[in-house]
Amino acid sequence: MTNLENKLITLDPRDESDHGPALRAPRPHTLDGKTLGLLSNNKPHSEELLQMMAENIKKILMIEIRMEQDPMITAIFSRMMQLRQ
Amino acid sequence: MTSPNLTSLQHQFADWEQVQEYYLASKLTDGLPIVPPTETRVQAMLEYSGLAPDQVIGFESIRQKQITAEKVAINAVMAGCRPEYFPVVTSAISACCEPVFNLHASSTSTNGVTVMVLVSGEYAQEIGMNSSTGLMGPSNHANASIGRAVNLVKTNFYGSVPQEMDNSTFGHPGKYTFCFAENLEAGIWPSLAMDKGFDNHSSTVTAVAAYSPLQVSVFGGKDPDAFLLGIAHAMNGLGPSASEVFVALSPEVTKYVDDAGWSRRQVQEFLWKKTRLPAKEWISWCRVEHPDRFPDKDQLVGCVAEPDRITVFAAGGAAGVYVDVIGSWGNSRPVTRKIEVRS
Repeated sequence: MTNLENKLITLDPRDESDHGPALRAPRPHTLDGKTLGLLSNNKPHSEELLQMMAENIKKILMIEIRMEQDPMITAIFSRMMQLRQ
Repeated sequence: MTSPNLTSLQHQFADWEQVQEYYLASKLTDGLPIVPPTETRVQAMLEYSGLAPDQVIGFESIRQKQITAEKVAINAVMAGCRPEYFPVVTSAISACCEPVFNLHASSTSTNGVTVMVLVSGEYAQEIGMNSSTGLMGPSNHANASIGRAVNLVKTNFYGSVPQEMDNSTFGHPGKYTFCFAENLEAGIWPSLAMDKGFDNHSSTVTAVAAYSPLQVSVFGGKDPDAFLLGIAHAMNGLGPSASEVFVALSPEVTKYVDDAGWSRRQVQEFLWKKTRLPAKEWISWCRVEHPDRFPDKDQLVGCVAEPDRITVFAAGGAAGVYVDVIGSWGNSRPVTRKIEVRS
């Protein structure tokens, strides 16, 4: 092996930007009048799991719940699915 | 050479061996030795493309990653790229950041896909890329290092480290490198770049979240009506959930198609029609995750949704009657970008 230089100074390939901690979206003071959306991630039995969650949530909250079968859970994926059609 | 504009953290080592040990121990390589990314080498990369270090090459929205030219250049140096390869690397990274490419899921999922980098146009020849014999294999410097650079950006900058954020069940040999060029000399139709609407002097790079290539021997004579059936059969091996399929015809197979006077569109439509099967057949082979989404079990379902999702092109060496079939992961769409070369 040959030393390329007396001292080698190299640069770091990683992302060094400090985004800070991810912030939670603002929480509403009340859920009255709100609609809860439960979106499947398309994994096996995810819809059954969400259905069970919906039934339990309905026991404690007077809230409308919408189940979505669309596996694509973000706007990005929605756009992708439009392109797939 | 001083590089006041470069802002990346610096590391100091006594020798080459120390560099390798540090980058390997820090999981900043693919397991193979790297070219030490010195300021001089990184600056040469940037200067070739005329890019400022803080120029944003792409923004990945899920992890909020802003990928700068400096970081891409560092990884390209590590991969062994020459400066003239850098425009291909930056275009590929830009393509990967397009939301429909779905970089986050494709580089973290248990599904073992990698970024396939397909280059079309004169620039591939200018930088010495291999589009001929063994184009998907080793030995060509440009093919090897460009594909490796894209993967190093994905692991080092984006954080898709195998066994950490990358949970691919089996992995993929192309996670080391998977880059090649369209064979323009053997081609009988407009280049893929022109097919995408670019002019005949433009070169493009297409990034694909690709499964492993499946090589298919061509039997049944020289009539496309016959031998393309075998290709359709192989495509059906992907199941009905690929977003697109790339079909590389060897030069000899390309000549068969040319002799028969078939257009690219004819090949696309033939393959698409022949891959269509009743939903119940796909279901009977357990190739459908959600059978209930096909209420009409006699509905014809293709390997892909439409003929345009089948990209047909010439590639490979003169000897051999083969076709390579490469599927694009269903939750990702391939993205094509023009390669911007500073004149």
